[in-house]
Amino acid sequence: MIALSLLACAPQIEVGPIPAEQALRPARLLTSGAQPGPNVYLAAIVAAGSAYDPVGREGLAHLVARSLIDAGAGERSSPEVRAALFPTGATLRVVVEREWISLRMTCHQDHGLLCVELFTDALARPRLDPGDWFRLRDDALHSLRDELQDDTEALGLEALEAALHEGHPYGHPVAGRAGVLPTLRPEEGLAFHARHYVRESVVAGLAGAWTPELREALEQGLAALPTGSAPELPLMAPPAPRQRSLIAIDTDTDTTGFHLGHPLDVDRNHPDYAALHLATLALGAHRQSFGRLFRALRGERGLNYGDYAYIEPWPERGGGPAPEQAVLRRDNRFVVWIRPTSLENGPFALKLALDEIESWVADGLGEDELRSVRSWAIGGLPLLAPDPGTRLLYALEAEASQTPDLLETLPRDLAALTLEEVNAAIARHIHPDRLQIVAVSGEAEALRGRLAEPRPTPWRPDDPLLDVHDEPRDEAIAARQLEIEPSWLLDAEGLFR
Amino acid sequence: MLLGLSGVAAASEPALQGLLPIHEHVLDNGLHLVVVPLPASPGIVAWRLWMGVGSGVEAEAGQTGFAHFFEHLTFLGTPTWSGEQRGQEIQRLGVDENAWTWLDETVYHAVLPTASLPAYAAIEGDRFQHLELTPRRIQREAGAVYGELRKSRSDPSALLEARLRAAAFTVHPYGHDTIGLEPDIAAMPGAHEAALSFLDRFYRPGEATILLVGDVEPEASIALIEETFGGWSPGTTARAEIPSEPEQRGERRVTVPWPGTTAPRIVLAWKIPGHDPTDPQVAALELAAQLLLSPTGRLKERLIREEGLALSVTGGREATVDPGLLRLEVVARAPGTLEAIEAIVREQVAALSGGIEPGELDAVRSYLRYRHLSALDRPSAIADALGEATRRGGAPSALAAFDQSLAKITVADVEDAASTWLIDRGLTVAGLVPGAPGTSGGDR
Repeated sequence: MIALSLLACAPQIEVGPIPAEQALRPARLLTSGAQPGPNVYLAAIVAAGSAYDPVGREGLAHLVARSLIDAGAGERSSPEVRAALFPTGATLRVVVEREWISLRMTCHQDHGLLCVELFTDALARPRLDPGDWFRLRDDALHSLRDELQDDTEALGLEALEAALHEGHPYGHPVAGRAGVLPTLRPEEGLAFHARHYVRESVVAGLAGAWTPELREALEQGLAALPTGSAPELPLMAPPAPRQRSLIAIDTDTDTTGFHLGHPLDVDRNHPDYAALHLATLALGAHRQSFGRLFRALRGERGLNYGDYAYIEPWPERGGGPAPEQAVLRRDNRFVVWIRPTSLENGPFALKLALDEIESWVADGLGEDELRSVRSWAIGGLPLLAPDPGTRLLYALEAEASQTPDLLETLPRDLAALTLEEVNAAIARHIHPDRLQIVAVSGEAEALRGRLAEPRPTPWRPDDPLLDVHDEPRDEAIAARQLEIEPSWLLDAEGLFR
Repeated sequence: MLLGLSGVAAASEPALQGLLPIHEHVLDNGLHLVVVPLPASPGIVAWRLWMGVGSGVEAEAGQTGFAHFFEHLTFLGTPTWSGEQRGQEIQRLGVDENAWTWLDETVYHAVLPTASLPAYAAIEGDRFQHLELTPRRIQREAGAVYGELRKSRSDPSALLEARLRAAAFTVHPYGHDTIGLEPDIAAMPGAHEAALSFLDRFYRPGEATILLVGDVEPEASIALIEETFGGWSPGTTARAEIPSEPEQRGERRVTVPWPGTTAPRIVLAWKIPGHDPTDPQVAALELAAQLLLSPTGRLKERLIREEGLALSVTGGREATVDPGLLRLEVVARAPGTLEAIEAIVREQVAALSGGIEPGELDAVRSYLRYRHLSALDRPSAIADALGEATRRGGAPSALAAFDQSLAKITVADVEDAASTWLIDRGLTVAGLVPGAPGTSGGDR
């Protein structure tokens, strides 16, 4: 247990046991000290995310990852895997992002050995049985064709990713492309697995109520992974936008929502990481009401449900308050999420958000704001890993990315920040005049017109009988002319096909 | 005791009884306090203030969505802490908080450093006793509720669920979505008087359970809650009477058109008893639902893997206070297949009335009980499980009581419950068809 010395004003906290690396290369294995509790936690990160899809075979990495847990493994067919797993109540799931896939298992300690066997079979000996493969392929197609259309906010984020990463391995959805998926075959899935799921690209770990016997079983299971050098992923920096642009996507809805973003050259190894992390919390901490965007749009005007900002992927989107693990990227981006407003209030909401971002960049944080956001951020660190399994994932992602373990370094780094450092980091890395804007709207063409015209775009509360226009800035913001060039109008149904 | 399951290592029974060190205390004003110290969670405490006030109390015309709206209003401030000051203080204390509302409850939840607990309890005690509702604050927050409605309207499953409930319940407030009906949401900005009345009638300590789980000490916690919530007046809670839903006497159907592109889907929902942790029929229905819906469940195997008709099969038994629903929702792979899917669902449900193998039931039981046990690995999850158990069963021990109920159920119990409750007379079917004309009907 490590006690951390924090800011005088912050609550005293302790973080849990820090997993220590054990020498077991080439597959790297991390374990924490065994802990009380009902469960054993197993996890592995593999550098085999969607950015490794061969050109023209988009969706292959995702389909292979999904097949690890649902298309047979080792000596068992998929029904036999389920039959073995089921009575234990254990969960086995896979998360796929651009860089990595991660396999996670939570298992009651009564069934530890069986769970290790199922886990390592899934990782090292997947069968990709054709019947299951084709079913999962259909599921992926459905997620692109239907689920993305059903969820306008997911569609907006995906469109922003595509806009920011044109010609880049991150530029297509993790699930692939609808036109490509029907051509993906299990044989190429097996070849992909053999190429990418090698010991050198795997970091695995064990936490919770584990025993030396389980650790040994895990080591033996991982030994089934082939050795060899995993293919490198040559990333080139995404194209840097020089001006603000707009993609307006037309869809069947009576709302307008926005995603704004630009590439960001800051990862966890960057000296400005902690400063930018803190500054972004002040602008728009996920699902918190203190962020500047939330206060201006929802708190003071009730324009929508929430407004947030990020410097790392947050694939859970509207979900819980804590970030997902094992979704880091080498090429990062800064993203602002403006949740759906009424059609009428959309233009004003965008202008207000841009105004907030611009003043955050130009003026930076104040001393009081820095103090309170820092206190919240440090106080909340133990809450990020409420169970040993989550704690393990933080350690694994640090090892896999060769970046610091945030739960170890952030308390110190955040405490040491000065106001000047924070504000300088914002000014260095955030460029409001280069934000790529994606709007998903039921009136996309009209929205594009209203943003281009010189006429003011005032907002109106949802109840037309009430007058709550009391913000002195509102008139100026409504009258503001945005410089957005170029802009495009797209139909939602044609996207990602 | 060994489970005797093939494929499962010999193990102790996954019982919840006696697993958690639970301490209870009831304040003079009726507030129920549950404290669970967990040495394995140093420095963290999960806080729940579980109000037994959900959309199921909204029996008065024009006030649907009010329980959820009130969840929003409670964040707006008191004479001591304005909403903004409160937000800043919460931030300073390192508290991660939010709230949710459903049919039977509104739950204010937080995870915080233990060192911040005294200050947070004081803020919460102030919030629930001295909430200041001005017309202006209400106007603004109503916009955020409209934003939530907008979000849910673009979700076909949310629309289907709303239509299903409206068809299944004719008089009980379970018949409307928790977010409320749009005309009522549109009128919320002017609902100042109604909000004050709601506060007076429903936000009383007798409706509240506070749960503290994690790095807490029972005696100090009891003293803290006495100090911060002891002054909350019990009031005279004059709820509107909740009308009992009359017995359903025939199958009901509704078809929901969807203008955009999406997968067709269907929900079949049967009326079932409200949750009672000691009622064998309730435990038997839970196992019946899992026989269909668990990872190896009959419906999943048949519809997803054997027939390839479904993309997903979800649902379950709703553990509601009043009689509720057992729901089965299927998202179809292809258009024009809902009829075939419905026939298979009906066939599989009918098959639960006879011919269940004991080994199959034992595997489902083992899955369910280990699932419950494994979920208790963090303070928040424990607080949630005990909160629901306490509000439904009167005490946190109801969690273990339900587990014991599950342990005792036989094949005959499941077959009996299925043939009693999962019958056509109590069934409501709702189908969502992209582009189809809308129709709806009553009993047939």
